[in-house]
Amino acid sequence: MKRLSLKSFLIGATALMAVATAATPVANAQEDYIERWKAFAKETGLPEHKAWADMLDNDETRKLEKEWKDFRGYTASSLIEDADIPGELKPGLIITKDNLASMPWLSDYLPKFWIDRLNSEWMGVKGIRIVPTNHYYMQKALLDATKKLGKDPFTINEKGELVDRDGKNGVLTKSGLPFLTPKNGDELNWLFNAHGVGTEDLWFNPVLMTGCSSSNKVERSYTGNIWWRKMAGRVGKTPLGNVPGYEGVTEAGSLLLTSPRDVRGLAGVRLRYADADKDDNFKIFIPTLRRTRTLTGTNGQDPIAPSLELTWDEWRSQWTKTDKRKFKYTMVKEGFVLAAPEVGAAYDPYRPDEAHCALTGIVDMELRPVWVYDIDDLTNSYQYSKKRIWVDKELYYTQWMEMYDRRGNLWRTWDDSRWWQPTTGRAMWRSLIIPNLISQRHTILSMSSDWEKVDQMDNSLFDVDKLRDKR
Amino acid sequence: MNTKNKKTKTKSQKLCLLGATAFSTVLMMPLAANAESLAEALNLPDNVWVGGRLTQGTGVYFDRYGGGTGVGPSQFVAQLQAEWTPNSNVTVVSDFWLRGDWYYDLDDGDSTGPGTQDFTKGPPFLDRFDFLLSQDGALTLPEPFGNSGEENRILDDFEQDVIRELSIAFADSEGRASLKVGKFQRGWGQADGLRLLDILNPQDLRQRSIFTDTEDLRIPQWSAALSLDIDQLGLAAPFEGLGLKDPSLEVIYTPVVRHSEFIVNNPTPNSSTSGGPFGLPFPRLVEGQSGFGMPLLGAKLSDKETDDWEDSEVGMRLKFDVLGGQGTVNGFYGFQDLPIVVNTGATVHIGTFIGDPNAAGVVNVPIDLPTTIGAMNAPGQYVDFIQSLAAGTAAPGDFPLIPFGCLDILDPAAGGVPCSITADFDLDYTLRQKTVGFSFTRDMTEFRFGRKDVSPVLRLEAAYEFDKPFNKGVIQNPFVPGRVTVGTPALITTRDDTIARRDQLSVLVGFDYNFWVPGWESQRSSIFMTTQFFEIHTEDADGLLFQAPYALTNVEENQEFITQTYTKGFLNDKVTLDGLAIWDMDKGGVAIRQRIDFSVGGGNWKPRIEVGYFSGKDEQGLLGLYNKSDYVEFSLTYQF
Repeated sequence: MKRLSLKSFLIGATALMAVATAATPVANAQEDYIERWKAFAKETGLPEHKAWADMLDNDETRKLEKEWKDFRGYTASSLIEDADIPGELKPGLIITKDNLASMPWLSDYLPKFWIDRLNSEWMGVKGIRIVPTNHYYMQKALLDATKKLGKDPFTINEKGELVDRDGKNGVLTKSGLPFLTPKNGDELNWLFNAHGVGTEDLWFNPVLMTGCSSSNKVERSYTGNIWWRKMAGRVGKTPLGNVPGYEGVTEAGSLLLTSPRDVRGLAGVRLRYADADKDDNFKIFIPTLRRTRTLTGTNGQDPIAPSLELTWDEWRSQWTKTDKRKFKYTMVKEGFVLAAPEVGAAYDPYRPDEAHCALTGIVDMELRPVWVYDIDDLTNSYQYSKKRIWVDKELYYTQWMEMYDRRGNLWRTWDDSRWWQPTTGRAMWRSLIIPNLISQRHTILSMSSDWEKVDQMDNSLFDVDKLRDKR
Repeated sequence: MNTKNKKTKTKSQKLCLLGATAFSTVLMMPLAANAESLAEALNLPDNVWVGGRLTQGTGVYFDRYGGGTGVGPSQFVAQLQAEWTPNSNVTVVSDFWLRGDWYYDLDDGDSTGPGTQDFTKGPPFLDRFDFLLSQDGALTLPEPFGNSGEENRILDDFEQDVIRELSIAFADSEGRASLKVGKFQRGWGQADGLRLLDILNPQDLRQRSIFTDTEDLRIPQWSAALSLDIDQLGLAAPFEGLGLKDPSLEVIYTPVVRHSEFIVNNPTPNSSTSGGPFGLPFPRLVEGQSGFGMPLLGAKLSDKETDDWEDSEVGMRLKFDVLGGQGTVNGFYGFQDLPIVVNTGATVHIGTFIGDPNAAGVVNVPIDLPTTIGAMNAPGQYVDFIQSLAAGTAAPGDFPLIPFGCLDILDPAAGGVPCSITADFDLDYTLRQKTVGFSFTRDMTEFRFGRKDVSPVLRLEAAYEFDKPFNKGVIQNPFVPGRVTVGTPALITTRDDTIARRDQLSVLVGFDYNFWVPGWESQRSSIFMTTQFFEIHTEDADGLLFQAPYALTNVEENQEFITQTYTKGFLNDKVTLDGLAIWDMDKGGVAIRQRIDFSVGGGNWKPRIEVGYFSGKDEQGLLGLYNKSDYVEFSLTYQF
């Protein structure tokens, strides 16, 4: 197998671009992913690629990206550059069922689920296009808070809680990202947890959730609003610090369904406590009863609505509460994965059809540097015997996730595309695909991230008795 | 004649209403089918939502009164809803629906219920005439009674029935206060099925009684609801001192009070109504001491209702977090949803055995309440006559209506004209309901069990009603000191004498649980189960009627119910089984509802098979009333 060094490729490509275009002077042309995107967009001629390249091409983005790069000491590009990546695996490559056999190395990067889609009626795609790798990062305020944490600010106790130097629950006392160079699964898990939802407040307005059959037909679809609020350690948006009235709570999520008609007004609020021994506070307003009900926080394993593959424990991909007494967190490997780019601000890289059940042709993917860790169930009672999560080394969020049933069979996977803002580092979501490989059906979520209203959010959205009147 | 014209006009209005609804819905269906929502199809702004549903059912009643099977519930609903949210502080909701049941047309006189005591069969007069539930009676023997149920084919009173919700809600941006004004419903408490604190709204029992979905069962009222977040208002300190966190207060004022709606299958010709198999069966008219039926009697029923604005209801609920759960303290000062039965007099019909005041040659002689009481309970009058029949001491000439020139039913050969009596009753809804109570719910995470170590959710609720009014089933005979009157005759008395007031304590202990079946490794979703136990204690319950005019159903001093529900989706939730069982532990009644719901067409089409089964002793408790109302129904809903 012939492999070209990516470095050689990038040198060539950049030189070509420099001739073809009057490139903006940059400190390190090899690292200039923005230029690569611009060239790539020109090559494909697709308006969505140009739109994304235009979103990247500004000083604000470059400045924030540089600050994170300087702090971390690497970028996705530099990690790729340093790795032994097949030369063919480069932006512009379109993987199809016809050229699949010529890329025996592909399974090292592309999950089998996606390879199988090239020869499948169920969620079949015509091709997978490799797009330039982006450089991701989070908010400036979070970077500053992380810098302030100093050296070794946290440890992890026997329950799996994040503990600060004073022995207190670090989630409630500190802000910033822990364990930026995780040494084991426990640390990586907390780094992942710290990403949260990529912003401090989130508003999907609306989210369309579609349960689909193996023939890519709609079985049931729901529309609603989803809100999320980081309740402790806020640094980027008021209220800063810990939100008054929610003592001990780390995150709050709420859902208000607006269609179909028979569930319109169904509202659910779930509060996650920092204390590993304190289960979620989970309340739901049932419109057919006109009444609020308490649901047990110990059962997050049910789908959030009939026909969907999304369970309460998979909000923001992996929301099963961290508890080392119940789960074992093991770092498996480091490497790379091909995953949908976080380009939701410009377009949906899955390109679903109007019914949001079938994929219409080409799916865009980018090569991402990741840590991979397993969450093994120690109770023998959890819905999954194991979750394997590919965590992005820049975004600290899931790029790919596999969920295995109690018999060890791959049951569900998770792939999503974030609505990430290059200028601010804040992220919400654009789309999400959760296939069920056992029963060959899937759920697609399509989200409109409301960046205007999210700044008007208040705590009443996390009080189910107030939420009921906001339908 | 006037009546006929009125009916014709009403029918044409109903047809117009139905036609308009069907037309608009047909217009909407294709629009909705091609868009994600009707609002999109109509190109409405983002802050406007429009939706609705069309439901049509068809079914079979089985184990009917008199046996056999026949046309079942064939209910339909056309519902149109709209919401407008001009900004985050204001929400306007409108919800209109038109409901009806084709049963009355389709059954066409096939099914019957119990009518008045059949005087033609002779003592002990326990046999009863049949009462046609879907066809007017011939008003001639041998099967004189019936009612077409026309008034209940379509529930089309615009203000009372068609407006489901019409409200506007204001909320301040800080979440400190909200005010909702209009016609709407509110649910209180934690109990499902039986009501303890969920008493803000009366219930519509007309179509499927207790098997109606909770939302559809409640009757919305014109109200105003003010919610105050005490914490946000900065007034929480006193509560927090008591360990009550995040307190909020809800005050609800209802100036236009409704009562529960039900239909008595009343054969009495001048008060005839039919609610089909879910109408309340006409009660047995029985003299309680002899156990003999009371022939030649009918009952004219009139509603005595509260006055709008003058008679209002107020409810208050303080909600707070406590002991790791959520609690409420509730108070309600309102009116009874179910009536006390009050006799107001009677009419003697001279010239008819069946109480038909309009029959040819009939002379109707109204008698006032004292005379009615005397005619029933005075020595030598009706009760004495029945008791003497039972004792075998009755002799020709004892029949108390002979002085009116009436035929002596013990000696028809002696001559005279047929006679009968219609007693006039008010269904009195003007008595106050004064209730306090509390509820508490908590995720019992200390107790985890089952395959996935899931904890149950506890639901507790208690209600204490002061001076709850009951009809007495036993009264002191007003004419003979020391003697009592029992059964139906006990209702023939004054308002003051028929009403007893007792304090009543009701308690619920319930658990919700997500059940993961042991050994079912591939179980995709849990079976959601609820179990509830109810205890209702009524002080000094002897001689009180569970619900007049069912004169032989007593109130238990301690009445217990158990309910059980489950819900489980199968075939990737394309099929959902939903079951409900209610066991009246004291009266021995059982009610079971099993639904099989299907999801097709992306959830827009909702076929359903529903089976309802009741078992109980006739007229014994709530479940016994529906002993002959078993049904299977297939319905199809299109929602948009």
